[in-house]
Amino acid sequence: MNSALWKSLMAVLTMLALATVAPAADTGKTNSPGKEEEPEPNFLITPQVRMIQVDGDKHKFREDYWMQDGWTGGIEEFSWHQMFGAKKDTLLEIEARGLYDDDDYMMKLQLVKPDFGFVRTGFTQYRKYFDDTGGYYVPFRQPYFDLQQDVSLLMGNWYVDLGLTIPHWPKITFGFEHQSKEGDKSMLEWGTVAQTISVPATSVTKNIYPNVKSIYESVDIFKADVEYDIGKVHMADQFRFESYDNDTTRADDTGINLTTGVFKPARIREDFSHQQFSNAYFVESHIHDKVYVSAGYLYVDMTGDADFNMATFYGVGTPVAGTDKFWLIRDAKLNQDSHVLNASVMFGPFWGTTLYAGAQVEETYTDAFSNSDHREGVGPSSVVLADTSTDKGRVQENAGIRFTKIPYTVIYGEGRWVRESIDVYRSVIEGDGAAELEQRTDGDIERDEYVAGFNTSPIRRASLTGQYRNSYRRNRYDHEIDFESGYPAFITDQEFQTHEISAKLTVRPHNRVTASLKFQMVDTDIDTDTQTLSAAVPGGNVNAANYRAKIYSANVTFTPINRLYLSGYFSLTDSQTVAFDNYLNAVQPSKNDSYTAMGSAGYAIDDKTEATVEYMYQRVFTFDNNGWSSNGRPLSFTPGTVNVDAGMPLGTDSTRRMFSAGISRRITKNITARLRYGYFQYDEPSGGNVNDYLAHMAMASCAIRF
Amino acid sequence: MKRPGLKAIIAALAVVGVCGVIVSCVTMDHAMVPPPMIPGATYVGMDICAPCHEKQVRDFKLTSHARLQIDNEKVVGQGCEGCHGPGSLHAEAGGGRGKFIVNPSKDPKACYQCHLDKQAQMNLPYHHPVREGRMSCSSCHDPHGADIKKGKSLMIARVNDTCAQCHREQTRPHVYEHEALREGCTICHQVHGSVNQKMLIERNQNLCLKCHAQVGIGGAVGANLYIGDSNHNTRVRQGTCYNAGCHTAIHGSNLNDHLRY
Repeated sequence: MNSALWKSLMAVLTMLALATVAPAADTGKTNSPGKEEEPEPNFLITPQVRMIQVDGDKHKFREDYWMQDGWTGGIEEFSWHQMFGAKKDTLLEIEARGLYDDDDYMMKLQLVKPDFGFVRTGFTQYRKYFDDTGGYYVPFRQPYFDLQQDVSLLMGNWYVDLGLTIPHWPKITFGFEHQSKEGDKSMLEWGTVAQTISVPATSVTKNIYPNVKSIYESVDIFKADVEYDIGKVHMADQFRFESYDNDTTRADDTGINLTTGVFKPARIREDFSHQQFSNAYFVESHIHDKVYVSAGYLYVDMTGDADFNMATFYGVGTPVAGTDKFWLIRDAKLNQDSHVLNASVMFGPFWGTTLYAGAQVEETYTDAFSNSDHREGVGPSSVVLADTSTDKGRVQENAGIRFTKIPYTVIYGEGRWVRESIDVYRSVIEGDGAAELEQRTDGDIERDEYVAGFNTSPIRRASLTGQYRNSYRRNRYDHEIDFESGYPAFITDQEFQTHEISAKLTVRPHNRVTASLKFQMVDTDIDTDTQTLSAAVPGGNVNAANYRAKIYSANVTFTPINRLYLSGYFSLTDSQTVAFDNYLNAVQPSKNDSYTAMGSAGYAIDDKTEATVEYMYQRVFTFDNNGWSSNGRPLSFTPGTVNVDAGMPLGTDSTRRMFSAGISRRITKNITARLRYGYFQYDEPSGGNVNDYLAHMAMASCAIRF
Repeated sequence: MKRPGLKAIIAALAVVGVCGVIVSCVTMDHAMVPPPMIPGATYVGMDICAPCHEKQVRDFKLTSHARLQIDNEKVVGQGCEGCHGPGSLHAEAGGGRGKFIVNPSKDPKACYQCHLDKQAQMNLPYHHPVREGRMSCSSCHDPHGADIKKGKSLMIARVNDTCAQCHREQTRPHVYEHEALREGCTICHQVHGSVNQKMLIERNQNLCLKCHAQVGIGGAVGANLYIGDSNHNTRVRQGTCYNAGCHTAIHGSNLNDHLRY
C-alpha cells in the first residue's frame, strides 16, 4: 500500500480521534464510578514526534533497532472502544499505530455483538532493515565492501474475519488474509574477492563481497472455521486455501579480482508459486472433571510450480565453458500431500496425580519433477530431467505424569518417542538418455526424549525449579541405489545425544525485593558413520561434533520506597561447537560467547511526574581471526604475510551500549506528556570498525485519554 | 581557594538525593512498580478468574505451564496470575480488557520473569522483533495450549509448520531437499536470538560440519577435509559452505542435488 494512502488513513484516524475527544470528555465527566450501568467510552491517542541522529554506519543502526534515522512522527498509540446499540452490548473497538517514514502502521478494528456475530479486520506493516556490509579481511587492498544501499524489506498483512455466534448454532467464521514481503534483504552468500599476494606469491580468495536479494512475496489465504458444541463435546473444523507467489532476484556470486580489476557478477532469478488446501478437524471433550480426550485429523494438499534462470556471464567477449553458465528450469512441478491424525487423553488429578498421553501419526508424500537446461560457455544446451520423491511416515507418542501430593512441591516427568521411516528416490537423466544420478535411500529415524523436573516452594519466600532433559536421535540410512557415489548419499548413520539441565531459584527476602537466578547447561554429541568411498576417504565412525553451552541469568527487582523501583538483569552465555575438521586449520571451533547487563529504574518525582531510566551493556566475543595470530593452533604465521592455510575470519567482537532516560508529566487529568532521550553506541573492532555508530534519539509524545 | 574534589561532589549529591527521597516519601504516596507488576493489586487465586474465563481456567491443566502448579493455596502467584499479574483490582473492576491486568502478548516482560535466558537472547544483535513490538511470544507459543503454536492450530501440525507461517520461502518443498529441514529449523537457527546473522547457531563451517563431517586421509595438521568424495580444503578457506559461492541454495534447490545456486 502506498504511503499516501497510509497518510490519508492516519489523517482520518486523527480527525476521528479529535472529533471524538469533546463528546467523550463530556461523557466522562457525567460518568461517576458508581454508574457502571452506563458504559463509558474509552479513548486514547498518543501523537509522537521523534528525531534520531546517527554518526557512523546508519544501516547497522537501523538493522539493530528496527528504526529509521532522521525525523519521524505520527500516532504512537490509538485505541478507542465504545459500547452501543439498544442494549449497549455491542462493542466497537479500534487500535492503531502509525509512524510515517518508519513505515510502521497497524490498525485493528472489531465489532462484536454478543450472541450474533463479529467483524474483525486490520492491517500491519513494518520495515525490516539490513546492513549492507559483507565480510572483513585485513590483508586485502580493500578489506571490506559496502553496497551503499538502503536495504530493507517491507512486510505487511491485512485481514478480515466475519463470524456468526448465534446461540445453539455452530460458530462460523469466514476470513481472508493477504500477507506480503517486498524489497531487498541482505544475504550471507557473499561474493568472491581475490588478490595476488607477494609473500608468499599466490592468489588469495575470500568470500567477503556483500549481496542482497530482491523479494516479492505474496500470500492470499481464504479461511473458513466452524465450531460446535454438542453436550460436553466440542468440535471444530478449519479449512484453509492458500495461494503463494514468490519472485526473487539475487546477485549470488560477485567475483572481484583486486589485482586485475575484473568484476564478474552472477544473476539468479527464481520464481515459485503454490496453491495449498488444508483442512483440520478436531474434537475434544472434558467427559468428566478429571477425564479429557481429544482427537484430530489434518489433511494438506499442495501443488507448486517453479522457474529458475541463472547467468554468470555479463562481460564482453566469448563465454568460457566451466565458468560462464546459463542454467534455467523450463518447468518444475512439486506436489505434496500430508495426512496427520492425532489423539490424546488426560486423567486426573487423582490423589495428586495427573496422567496424560497422546499419539500422532503422519504420512507425507512429496514428488517433484524438473526439466532444466544447462549450458556452459558457447557449448550446446544439455537438457536435464529430474524426478524425485520423498515418502515419510512418522509416529509420535508421548506420555507424562504430574504429582502434587508432596507438600509445597510438584514433580513431573514426560517421555516422547518418534519413529520415522523415509523413502527417498532421485533420478536425474541427461538429454542423451544417460542417467546422471539415481539414488534410493531408506531412512529409519528414532527420537527419544525424556524430561523430569520439579517445582518446590517449601518456604513462602523462595521457590526452586529444576529440570533435566535427555534427548537421543538416531538417523540410519540404507542407500539401496547410489549411482553418484560420494554425494549426497554418503552418511549411513548419525546419532545426536543431548543432556540438558536447568535450575531456577527465586527468592523474596522482603516484600520489596525479588531475585531470580537461573542456570542452564546443554551438552550435545553428534556421531556420524559414513561410507568408504576411496583410499582418500576411508569412511567409518567419527565424533562429528560437540556442542556445549552454559547460560547464567539473574534478575533482581527492588522497590526501596513506594515511589522508586530498581531492576537489574545479567546474563552470560558461554557456548562452543567443535566439529571434526580432520585437522584442517581453516576450520576453527565456533564460540558464541556473550554477556548482557541491563538495569532500569523508575521514580515518581511527585504525584504527576515520573522519571524512568534504562541502560543496557552487551558484549559479544565470538570473533575468530582464523590464523592471523596464534590462536591455539600450531600455525606457521609470520606477521605481514598471508597464511594461505588460514580460513576466513568470522564471528564478532563487539560492544553495544544503550541508555535512555524519560520523564512523563500528567498535565491534566486526561493528558500526559512524555519526553525521552536515547543514546546508542556500537563498536565492532573485529569488522575494522566500519559498522560502528553513535546515535542520539529525542522523542516527545502526548497521551490524550478520555 | 581549594576546589572541591570529585569525592566531595559525589558525596554532596548523594546527601541531596537521599534527603530528596526522604522528603518526598513523607509528602506523597505515588507508587511505582517495575513492569509487569500492577500497583496496589494482590493475588487472589485462579478460582476468582473462573466465572469469566471459564475455558482458560478449565484448560489450564492441559498446558505445559501446569507442570509447575503447586497444589497449595498458600503458594500465591500461580496459574493465571503467574503470567497476568495479581488479579484483585481486575476482579474488583469487573474485568475488562487491559484493566489492571498484564497482557503478556503486548509486553514480553511477564514471560521473562521465568524465562530469564530468553530475555538476553531477545536482546542479542539478531532476534525476532519481540523487543520492537512487531511480534510477541504468543506469535509462536500458545501459553493456553500446547507449547508451540501449531501452524494449523488445533494442536495438529507437522515439523516446521510454526516457522512456515512467516517463512514459506525457506520451508517449502524443493526438487532436492536439504535433509536438515527434516530435523527442524532449530537444527541451524537459534530462534529466540543469536549473536550470528540470520540467527544461526554457528557462524562458521561448524554449522555444516557437525552433520557432514567424515573421516578423510591424513589425520594430522594440514590434512584434507573431504565432504563426500570431494576435497574441500580450498573452498572452506574462502568462507562457509553457504557463503563461499557453492551451496547457496541452503534450504533446498530445484536445480542441483548439491544445493548449488
